[in-house]
Amino acid sequence: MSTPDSSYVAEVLDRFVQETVGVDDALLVSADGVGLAASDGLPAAVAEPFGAIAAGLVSLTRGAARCFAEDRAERVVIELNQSYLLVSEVTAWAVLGVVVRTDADIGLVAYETTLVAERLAPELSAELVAEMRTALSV
Amino acid sequence: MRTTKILIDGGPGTGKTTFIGSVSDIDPVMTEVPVTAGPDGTSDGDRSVAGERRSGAGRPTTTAALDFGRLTIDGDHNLLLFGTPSSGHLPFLQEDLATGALGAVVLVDPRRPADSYPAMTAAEERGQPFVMAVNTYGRDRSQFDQALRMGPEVPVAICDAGDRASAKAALLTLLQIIVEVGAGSGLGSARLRAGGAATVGGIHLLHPDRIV
Repeated sequence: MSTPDSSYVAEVLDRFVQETVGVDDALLVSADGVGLAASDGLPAAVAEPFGAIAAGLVSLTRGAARCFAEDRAERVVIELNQSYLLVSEVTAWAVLGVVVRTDADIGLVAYETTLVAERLAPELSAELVAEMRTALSV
Repeated sequence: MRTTKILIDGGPGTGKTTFIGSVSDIDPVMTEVPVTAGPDGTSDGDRSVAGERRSGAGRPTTTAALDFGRLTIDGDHNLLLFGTPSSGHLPFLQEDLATGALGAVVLVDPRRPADSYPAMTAAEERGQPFVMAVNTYGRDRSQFDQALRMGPEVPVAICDAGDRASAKAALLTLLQIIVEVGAGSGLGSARLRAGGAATVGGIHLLHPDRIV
């Protein structure tokens, strides 16, 4: 089941992956760690745990920001051996996770990720997130 | 396919990670680290009780950030299980993990039930239905039936967190409670199917004001 808005979100993620050099996958999860939408080809076996981890990371990162009297973090970057993982808050209700190959220009991808988050943010009302959260299981 | 988030909470060493590892259909996400010292700087030996997980070197471990697993029941219902970290150092993380969960399994070590009271209190304060799951750590469950006397309003499941069927039964108990609470308060389209399998649908608890 999908609504026009949630398929729009999936399309944005797909286009982002196709058009951004070095990006393999993109995943949107609710702030509480439940999958909302994923780019084409991201298996559920990866999306589910990555989504839960991404939501946990955002929580930890907010805590880290508060330690230093800051109110938010721009993103989390994890450098694995063969990929980077970028995790960022899109709105208070949604978290974006991106899988990037290590041969990519990570600065450029981070910038493009910010742009896609800005494009998605106005679409992701609390109501839509709640609706996608109950309608979908990635 | 329905997706429901469930919180797995409880005091340190009560079997939260074990529970998720037992029931999860997928390889669970675990963030285990070795226990180094207790909060007072002494060794944490008093928590090195039977049933506590041990890493290869025989040292007890604890969850640093979160555990995550998934269980599909009844063919069309996904339970996403989020386990909390044991230490109380990151209360904001505990709250964030709890957000959106329809209910909680609060694991209890019958030898030190008070360790799990904060988790029960927190669930109550959130208005989250919960079941108190008394972990038998693989022992004969008859020893534990009288172990805890809570008020009749607190549902209790005796379970072995390390046993899939037993842990799953505790989850089903919770689902029934969620359904009953939901039916009582008009929460969405919750219903209980003939045969005891619970279906909870159309419910969301993603309150923006709960998100820090």
